[in-house]
This record gives sequence, structure tokens and C-alpha cells, in this order.
Amino acid sequence: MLEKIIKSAIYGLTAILLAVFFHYIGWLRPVENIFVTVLSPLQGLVSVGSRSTGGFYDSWLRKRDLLAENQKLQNDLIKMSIDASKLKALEEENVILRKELNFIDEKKYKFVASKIITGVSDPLSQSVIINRGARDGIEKGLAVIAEGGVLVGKVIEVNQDYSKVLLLSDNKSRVAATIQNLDHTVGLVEGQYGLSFAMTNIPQNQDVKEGDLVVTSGLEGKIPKDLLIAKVETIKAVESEIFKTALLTPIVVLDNLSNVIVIIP
Amino acid sequence: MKSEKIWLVVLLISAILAQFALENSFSFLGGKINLILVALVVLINLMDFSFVIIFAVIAGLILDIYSGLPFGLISLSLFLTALLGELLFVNFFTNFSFYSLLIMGFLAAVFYHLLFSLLVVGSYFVGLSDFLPKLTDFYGLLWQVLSAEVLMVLAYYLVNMLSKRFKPIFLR
Repeated sequence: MLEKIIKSAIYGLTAILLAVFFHYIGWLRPVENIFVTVLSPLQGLVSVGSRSTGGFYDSWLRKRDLLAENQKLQNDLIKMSIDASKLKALEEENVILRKELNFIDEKKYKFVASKIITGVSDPLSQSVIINRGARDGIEKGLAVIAEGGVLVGKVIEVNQDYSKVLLLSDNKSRVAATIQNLDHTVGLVEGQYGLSFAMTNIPQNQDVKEGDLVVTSGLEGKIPKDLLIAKVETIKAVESEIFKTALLTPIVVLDNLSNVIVIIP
Repeated sequence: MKSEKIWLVVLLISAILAQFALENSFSFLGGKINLILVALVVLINLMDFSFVIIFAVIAGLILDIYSGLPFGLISLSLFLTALLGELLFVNFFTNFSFYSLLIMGFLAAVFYHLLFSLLVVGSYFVGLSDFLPKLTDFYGLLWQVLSAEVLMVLAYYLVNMLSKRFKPIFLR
């Protein structure tokens, strides 16, 4: 048995050494060409088959990776959309606060900046809750202004950490005001069922025109003078009555308030 | 005998073509599977040594034709592995069992790859090639041994389906 193995091994080794020798002197080249020529068509067929299988696997891998990347990108997109909307909200808040700050700086008021937490839970009143209270120096009757120094309401209820603000559009809201006309007409700005407000008790002989600005009169101790309230839209005058009424257009939309300032006299 | 020769040719060509297909189209498998080596070990168990030597030499030379390494490296490695395998088979692993096939496969794979690496390094220092294997290339040895073992198992089952040469001995 061992002899047979040794014999076969010698033959095999000899064949290899001869093949190597003939290869390097170039004699084996025709044989090599024959092998390549004969095997090439078969190799081509096998190669096509294996490449499509390999390609299938590669495309499965790519698809899996693409799906994972797609999911990640979708998550990133959602996150960025949320960030973008937060950024937009912050930018808007920044603009509002800058306007409020400019107004405060000009007038040199003492103030407390606050955020509107929520509207009240009943549908009848036009009030909001702000995140400042007695702890921050808030008192009942203080003026609450929005961007540009426009009066939007008055503090009506104060707690330690929060307060209730009655908006000007509420039926119960009353603010002493002056029209910036030649007569400096004095009257009372009253809320109109949550929709708007009007200035009442204007003597019939006072000349009030559309577009006249209405400001606070300063007759209420805690509300400074000349805080802008609204603009005259139309005049309702009945000849038989002593007083006429001016329907006002708000300068600031009261439904969209988020940040306000409470002025401390 | 004639049918055995036909089988040899068919097996040889199939193994070589499959080996090329694996190397070229399944890049993640590249360098990790050696079908020729697996076929060699199975043949040692099933066939005459002269048959095995012819297979080893011809398969090796064909692979050498397509190889970028010095000519003869692969055929020499396969030949010497076949020689070792036959000596082990004749002296130790004589019972055609599943375990002897696995152990032979393991030893043949380790020997082949170590010998091949040695020849490559030798040819580099002699100036016959520009390729010097890096340490990371030896990590492939583990993969090759593992894949050889897996393929041995598959080959065992395949041969058992087609013939009674192997003894279906398993641990209970």
C-alpha cells in the first residue's frame, strides 16, 4: 500500500514539476490555451447564472440597506419638520417679544413678560390664563399688552403663580379710552360678545371719523395713558339719542395671542 | 473504470467552474470556500489514490492557469495535501465514518492553507511574485476551515444518498 502511494506521489510530483518547467519556457502555452478555450463557454454560462444569483443577493442586500436608510431618513425628516416648526414658532415669538421689548424700552415701563397658558374652560367668557401671579408682582386691574404695546386686556384675578386676564372683546370688559381726534373724545371701550369691541358714550357733537385711533385715557389708576387699543371702523349714531357709538377694529387679533406683557405702574 | 473516469472529468470541471463562480460572483464568500479541497478530501475517502492524484494535479494546474501567483503553487499545495490526506486515511481514518471525514477535512484544510501561504511567502522572497500575505489574510484561514467542515457535512449526506461507501455513523 505504501509503495503504491509513494509511486503515485512520485508520478504526481514529476508531472507538476514538468508542467511548471514547460510553463516557464513557454511550451505549455498551447495546452493552456486549449483549456481556456474549452472551459470558457462553460465558464461563461456558469458565470451568468452565478452573477444573477450573486446580483440577486447583492440587490437584496442593497434593498435591505436602502429600506433601512429610507426609514432612517423618514425619521430624520419627521424630526427636522418638528424642529423646523419649533424654529418657526420661536422666530415668531422672537419677533413679538422684540416688538414688545421695543415698546417697553421706549416708555420705560416696569413690566412682567408672561406666556398665555390656556383659555378658560367656559365658552361664555373671553379670558385667558397667564403664567405669572402674585409672586411676580401681578395685581388685579393691571394692563396687559401684546406686541407693539397694544392693550389686549386687564388682569381680573390673581393667584400665586398664575392670573386670569379678561380680554377686551369680553362683554364684561370696560376700559376708559380716548379717541385721538381734535376733540380728544373720551369714552368707554366695551367688549362685544367676544367678537370685537366698541366705544360707547361718545357725545353726538364729537367729531369722530373712521380710522381714528383709540388709546387708553389714563383715568383708570393702574392702566397707563396712551396705550393703543383699536381703530375706529364705523360710527353708529341715532339722532334721537344723546350718545353715539363707534365700532372698533382690533389692532391685534386676540385669538392668536401667545406672549403678553403685564405693565406694573 | 470507464465510468469512474467520466465521473472524474465531470467532477473536476464542475468543481473548478463552481469555484470560479463563487470567487467572482459572491464577493462576500471570496477566499472563504475551497470546493476543490473539499472534493479532494471526499475523493480520498472514496477513490483510489492514483485517481486522487490525477484530480489534484489537473485541478491544481487549471487553477494555476487562471491564477496571478507563480505557476505551480496551487497544484503543489493540492498535491501535497492529497498526499497527506491519503497517508492519514490509510493509517488513521480508515472506517469511512462521518467523524473521520470531518477530522480529515479539518486537517487537510489547515495543512493546505498553511502550505499555500508558506509557498506564497517563499515565492515573494525568492522574487517570483510581488504578493506578500498580510496577517489579516490568515484570518481567512479560520473561515476556510469552517466552510470546509460545513461542506464536508453536505458532501457526506450527498454521497450517502447516492452510494453506500460511507458508513452513516453518528453519535447517539
